Amino acid sequence: MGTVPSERPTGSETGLSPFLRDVNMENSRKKVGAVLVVGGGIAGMQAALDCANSGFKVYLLEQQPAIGGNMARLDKTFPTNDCAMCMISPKLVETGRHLNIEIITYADLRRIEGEAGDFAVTINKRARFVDEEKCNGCGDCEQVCPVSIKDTFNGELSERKAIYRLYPQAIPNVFTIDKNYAPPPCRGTCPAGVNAQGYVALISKRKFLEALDVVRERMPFAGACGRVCHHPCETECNRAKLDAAVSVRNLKRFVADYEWDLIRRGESVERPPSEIVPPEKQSYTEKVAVVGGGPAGLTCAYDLAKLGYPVTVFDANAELGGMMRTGIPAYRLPREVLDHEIRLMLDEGISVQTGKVLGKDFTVVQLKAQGYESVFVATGAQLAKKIPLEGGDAADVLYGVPFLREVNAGGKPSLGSRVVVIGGGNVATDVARCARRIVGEGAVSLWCLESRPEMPAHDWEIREAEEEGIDIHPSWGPARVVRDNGKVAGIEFVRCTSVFDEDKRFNPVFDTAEKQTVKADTVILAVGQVCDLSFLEGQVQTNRGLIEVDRLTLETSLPGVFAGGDNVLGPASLVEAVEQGHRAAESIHRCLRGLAMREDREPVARPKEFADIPSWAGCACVARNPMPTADLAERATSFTEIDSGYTEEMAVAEALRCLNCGVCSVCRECVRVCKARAIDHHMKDATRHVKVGAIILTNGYDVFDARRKSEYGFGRYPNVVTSMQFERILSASGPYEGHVRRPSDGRVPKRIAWIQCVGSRDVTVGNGYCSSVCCMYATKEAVIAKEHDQNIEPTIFFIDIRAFGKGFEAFYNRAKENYGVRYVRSQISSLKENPENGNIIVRYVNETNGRKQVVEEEFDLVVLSVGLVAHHSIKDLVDIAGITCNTSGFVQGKLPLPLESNREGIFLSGAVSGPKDIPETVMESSAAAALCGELLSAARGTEVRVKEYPVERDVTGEAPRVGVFVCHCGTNIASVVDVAAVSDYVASIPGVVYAEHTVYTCSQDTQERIKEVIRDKKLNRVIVASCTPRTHESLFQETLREAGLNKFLFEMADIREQCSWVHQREPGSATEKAKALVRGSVGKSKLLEPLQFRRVGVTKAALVVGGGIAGMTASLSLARQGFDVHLVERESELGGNLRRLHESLEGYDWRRHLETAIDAVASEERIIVHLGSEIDEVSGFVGNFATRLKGASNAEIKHGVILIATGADEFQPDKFLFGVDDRVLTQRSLDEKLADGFRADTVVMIQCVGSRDAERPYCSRVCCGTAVKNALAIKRKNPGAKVYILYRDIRTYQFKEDYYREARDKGVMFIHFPDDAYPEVTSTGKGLRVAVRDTVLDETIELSADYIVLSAAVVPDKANNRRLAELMKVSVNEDGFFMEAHVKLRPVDFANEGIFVCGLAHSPKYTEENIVQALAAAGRAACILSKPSLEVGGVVSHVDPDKCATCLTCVRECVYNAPFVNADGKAEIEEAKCQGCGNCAAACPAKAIQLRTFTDAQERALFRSILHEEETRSDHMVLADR
Amino acid sequence: MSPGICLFPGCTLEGSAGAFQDSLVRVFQALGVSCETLRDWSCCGATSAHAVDHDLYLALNLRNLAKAQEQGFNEVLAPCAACYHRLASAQLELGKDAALLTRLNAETGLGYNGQVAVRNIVDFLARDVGLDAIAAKVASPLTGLKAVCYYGCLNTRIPHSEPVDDREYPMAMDRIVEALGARALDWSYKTECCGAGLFITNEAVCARLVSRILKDAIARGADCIVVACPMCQNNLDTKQDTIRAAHNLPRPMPVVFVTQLMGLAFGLDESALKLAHSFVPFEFAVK
Repeated sequence: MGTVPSERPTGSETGLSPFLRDVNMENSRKKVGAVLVVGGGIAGMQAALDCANSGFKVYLLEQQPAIGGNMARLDKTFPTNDCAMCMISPKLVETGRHLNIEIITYADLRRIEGEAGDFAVTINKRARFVDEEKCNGCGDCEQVCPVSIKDTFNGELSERKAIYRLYPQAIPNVFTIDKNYAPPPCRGTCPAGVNAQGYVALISKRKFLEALDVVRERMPFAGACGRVCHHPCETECNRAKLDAAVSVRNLKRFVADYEWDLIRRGESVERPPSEIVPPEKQSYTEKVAVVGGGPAGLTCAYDLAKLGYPVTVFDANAELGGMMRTGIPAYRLPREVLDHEIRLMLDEGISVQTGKVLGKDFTVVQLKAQGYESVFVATGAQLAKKIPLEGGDAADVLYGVPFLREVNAGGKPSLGSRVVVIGGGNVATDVARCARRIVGEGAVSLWCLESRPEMPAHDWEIREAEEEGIDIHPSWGPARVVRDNGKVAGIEFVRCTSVFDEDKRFNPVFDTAEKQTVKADTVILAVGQVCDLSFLEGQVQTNRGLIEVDRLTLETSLPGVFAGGDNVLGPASLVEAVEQGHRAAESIHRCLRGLAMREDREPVARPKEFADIPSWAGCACVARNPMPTADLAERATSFTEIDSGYTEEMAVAEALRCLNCGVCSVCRECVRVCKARAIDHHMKDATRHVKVGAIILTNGYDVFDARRKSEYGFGRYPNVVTSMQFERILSASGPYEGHVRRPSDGRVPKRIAWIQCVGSRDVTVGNGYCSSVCCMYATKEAVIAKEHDQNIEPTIFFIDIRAFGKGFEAFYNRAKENYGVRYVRSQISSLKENPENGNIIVRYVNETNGRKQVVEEEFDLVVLSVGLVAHHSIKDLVDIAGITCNTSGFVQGKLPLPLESNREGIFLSGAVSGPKDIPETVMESSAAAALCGELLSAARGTEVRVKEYPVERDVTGEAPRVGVFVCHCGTNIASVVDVAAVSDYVASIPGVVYAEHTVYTCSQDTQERIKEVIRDKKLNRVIVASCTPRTHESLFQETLREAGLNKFLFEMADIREQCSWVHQREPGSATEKAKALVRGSVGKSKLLEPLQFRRVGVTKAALVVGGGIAGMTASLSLARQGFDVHLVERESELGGNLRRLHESLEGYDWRRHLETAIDAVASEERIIVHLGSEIDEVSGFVGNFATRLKGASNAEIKHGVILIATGADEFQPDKFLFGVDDRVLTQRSLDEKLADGFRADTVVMIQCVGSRDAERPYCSRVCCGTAVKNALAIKRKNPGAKVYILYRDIRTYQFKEDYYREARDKGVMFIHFPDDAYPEVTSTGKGLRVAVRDTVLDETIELSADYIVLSAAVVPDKANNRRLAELMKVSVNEDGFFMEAHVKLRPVDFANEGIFVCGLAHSPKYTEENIVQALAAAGRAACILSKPSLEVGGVVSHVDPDKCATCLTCVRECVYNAPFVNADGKAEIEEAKCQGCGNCAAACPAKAIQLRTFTDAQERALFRSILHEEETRSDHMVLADR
Repeated sequence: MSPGICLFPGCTLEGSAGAFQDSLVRVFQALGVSCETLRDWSCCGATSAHAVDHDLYLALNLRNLAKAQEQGFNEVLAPCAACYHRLASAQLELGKDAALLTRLNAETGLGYNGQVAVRNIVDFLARDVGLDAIAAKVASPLTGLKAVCYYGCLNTRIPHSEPVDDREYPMAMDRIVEALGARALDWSYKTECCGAGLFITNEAVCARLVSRILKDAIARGADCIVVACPMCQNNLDTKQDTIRAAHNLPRPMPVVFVTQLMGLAFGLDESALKLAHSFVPFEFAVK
């Protein structure tokens, strides 16, 4: 539910700040001159910049991997259709480079302790797995990452990699690895920790050898394990929830076979070059003995040999491999696979002694005596388990383990024609299947105690055994062996009714009544394995037939002796044995090196939690690729391998089924290619502690989850998208590269509908408020879509169009009239999909031929204008920051200033306190910076750094000595452009004394290198050929300054964007072009000249024009920030419009506020008030203005900044009997009457009187809220009163919507009339009558009224504003309001530096908004006033007076008013005003103006050198041009 | 299983929607759900009482709920969507307004405590019985059957109540159908009005509304529409021949109760499920 407005705020809840706070007392406490800004969107960046530029250190905290926030996702912005990225990008760069802003990304706020002025903040910096210091953002890692997931930045309409950059312009320009919070099930369940997702991901990209390396990191027997593993990874695979598990085991086998095939064919198995440096192999002297050459023993030996230990493996058998060789039949694991893998391991340098039996040929103690400093005993479980069975102890009854050993050694045991195998495990099935191969079909049966589901053998083993013709008889227990003449003749079975008791212990129960005798001539018992531990001779402790070890380290009771594998675990699987081998090797290494044995080690345990199935994983079923197998008849009679393995295509197809649940697969491809060695997969979260004096929360907003309005089918109908998705669809960097397409089929949509208020103004989803921005962004999206494609027909379905901001109404009108956007006033209740074409059907009420009717219309695409909801991080702020939230989840700001939270020293800006648009957000940020400045003025400048540079070397008179650095940009440039060739070529150009190519020219170490070369080679020009100057020029210029060289002696050639990127397929031409570009830079560089900055002082005083609430607020703030203020008011008293206002819609007492403010101004000694005075003349420029007053005061004032706060007035209507009948009032006079006990029974209010018409096409913004406020006031006094509000659109944005709803609930009648049919007012004998066309009833209705109240427009004093604008060289718009520098990002600045605007002089606003804007102007002004001096000069224009004809072209052309005609009658540029745009230089007909560093001569040299090689070589030709 | 649920049959289940009642009873038996019919129940007031006289409608339902209380139940199951809507709405009103309850108890001479919960059939099956229990009873999975679930306008929309499923795009019946082995298709008309209230009085409007629902079901490739409301079943099924002709629909669309489909998957006797009672025949070869 929305906020409940009926509760009136009490005095104690409302902050009367900034007027009631005792600032002086606060300033006596200790203050920290630093500010924490939480959130790096546009609000956070603006707050950070304003704080940092007014003398405070800033920590900018951002949850995402990069700053930029939601604005970075927008395509264009209303109402100017500026590209959002173009606007935000310079802010990103400025923030990223600021010396006193420290950006902390991918981080969360954890704790705020302390109090205003002195907070201690704890921050958790999440591991991004990429070292921000080392990463250069080259993107090589992104290229090789095999994992693609849905790109949330693009609204999941496209994909991105697991290693990613949020968007191309991201600051910081570094990558982040996206890892799931928990391991994927495949990796988590593998006992040996084999990274299945990693190698599966690599296989999907055909990187088979790299995949094999990932397997081998934890599994040296890739081929064996790929054949026989019981694959718990597949059992838990999340894909099984959709269709079937990924065939992980088969894929592992595939990569092992792939390499082996290459080897057998004699082809190269060399891996691509890698930046991964293998640890240098040591050569340790401590000898290690491994007893037992099975999987555990060999793994241990292999690990230790790789570490550099001399290892000897002892084995009792003639060949290594243990149970893999003696236990597993060859049809499952061909011997050559095993031989190959063991050979590879032994090649690491392992000695082998086969045929050596522990306990017979040697003992453990003897090994120690022989100098083996550590021993690993992994002798396996070699003995068959025996059971008491009548007649079963004779030698002719066989046992499974020795039987398999014999068969696997190539023997052929003599079997009868009826073989009975007893046992239900994997050994039993192996035995049965081997016997079946020896004696043929129909001769072998298998009997076991367990029921079929209980059989311990794997399902597939049982199934394959059955396929091969083996009869399986579950639930039978052997009773006795029947003998005939001493020979086996059969076996008697009794029915087994249960095997396990309630505690799941083995405790078989038989029903002896049911028995049968089976004829047999061979009986093989395969009922288990046990360990032979006799060899230990008591030297090592045992327990229940197993060696007793420390489960973490595998150390036995004998120090230095370790044991593992089956003799510790009991009969276990191959992967478990391998895990034991790794563990033992780790322990032995630690033991021999004297390292802590237990530190950072975990026992084998199933993780508590696995990564869940990813939210984007649809249920597009793709069947598992079956394993091709040998023909049944053939396979059942031979020992050749059954499974023939995947083909490459099958392997890739199968690998592509992986859902990448872990996101990053840790395949380490990124590590392999990262030349900066920036990637660290072991990175951990880190905790930061910072001390700050104030905190600004700018957490921003989330967009409403459209799935919650299920009637619109979002998430089900592909052609229903959210407005944020549509922003991405429009964006050039979006999923369709800026082409408008629809998701279902990529077709260009023609009819597009927008549905407004999705998740806004909707109490059913808990969002009663209006999201404030949707009407305008939908209008903008419709217009931009139309600009993309003229054929598009946009329709916007709305309740009210809320175009209440500056320039919005005009934009809305343009959309209707110029772009043909259709607006339909109808709230859509549900959407249907046409299943034939994916179109969306909208049913709505439409007026056709003057009749309202329900129609259905099909659209190709529907955009849901989703509202703004409280950012998800705000919930945690309640505990962390101790702030409170409103019922909609936004942070509750105090009245009247929503910038103040309820905790002192914590300020708010932007959508954290409620939905709002960008200009308001930017204003709030500047205002919050002003509040920080007030709070911390005593500590201003205490925490900031000022960089000291060495004295610049004087290069005058030196011949050019050019140094060139050509950048590889990782492989970004070097993979296309032959950088070595470019470097060699450049070195041959005359004047170039040094050239080299570097992997990353922007890296820290290269900066040091450049400085060194500048000094050593005495360079006086430096050129970098790399990426774009937009992001990198200032970095290199900085390096020059640090090396004592003037920064304007630098030139940059962009050989990435202009060469390697655009000419990717033509490396030869790209290289030639790169040479030409660098040649051009060399040519230009020779003409570069050092430029100097001049310092001018700043007068630390402000002139504030206008003594209303805006002017007073700005004055007070500046004074409290430590600056002098001259407040000029033309009337004889302060207060302006607020003198006639009593309370706000929210119930705040403006009367009291005004009194307090006037008192505060009076008692503030830094403020000098000039009443009854006006501005007469203004001269000077930023930092140094001089103004003369006229009127009561004619003072001459010197000041550094100007704030314009001249206000506006209420329109005096000329219609509706206003001024004729005194029962016709305006809202302002009603407001005054209400304060004096007004009472009426029937009141009719008419909205938009004087607004939104031909004469004043703008919306006055405050009238709807004021009408609702006054209507509620009338109802409070007289609940029975009838109040009618006749309107065109009700524009109660943000939380004001709650009062609109309250008014309706209380019975205020709202009647909508058409834009072109205003109501008519007549006076009759009985009273006033109003006739109005009601669009809902579609009829004209008549109302009688005691009073008629006109909601009259807000109008500026056009004449006065124009006069002031001329004096100050600023502009006013056509409506007569002052025009700011940029409506979005510079809402209080003018293009002319040092002049600011606030309050009604800027545009119609509510009082609390005027206050915010006044503070914003004060915040911006403080950025200038807090500086000791301003730097002027550098890249500015310069007039050659000899050529100047005083034609005034430059004076008219310049928007900054920099050129003026000086005392000599020649044009001159005021360097303090010049912004270096070059307009005057371009316009000057006499070519008298040159822009420094871009002079005609320099630019000509650049182009000539590019075009004509010889130009560069003959310096005199260029020089002659000067 | 729970101690048992009290069944409020209403006029439909004992009349035109006998198939619903019979299939429901048999499915409950198969699932081991004990279910007892409310004795001495009266009309829920769905057709006109609630629109004409609010107190009368409340009193009618107060009587039904009081009977359930007397008979020892704390829950009433109303399979008919209209009964459910009226009983649940009345319960909601009576449960939160003690003065109203006292007054109506006094006027009717009853002693209802305001504590009997009213349940709908889909929610009861999906949550109380449980999808696992339903899946466990499936003897012949309805593999290959494609169904669209039609919830109608009443079952998910009790004003001012906590929703038991998504009001506009409910899923509970879809999950039941999936548990039976069939495929529940996504479509656009799950909760759209079928116009059953105008079945008699305005045939043309009714036909238009029905045709849109049938059209989408056909276009989605559904084999049948699954319902849990007697009026929906009746309205979508009865006049299909004429509606199909008038609105140019290519094929008939069987309309079955969810309980009939369950019975089929459970392997119950088909004649007892009264599938043949529908106008549009439903034929699905159960394996």
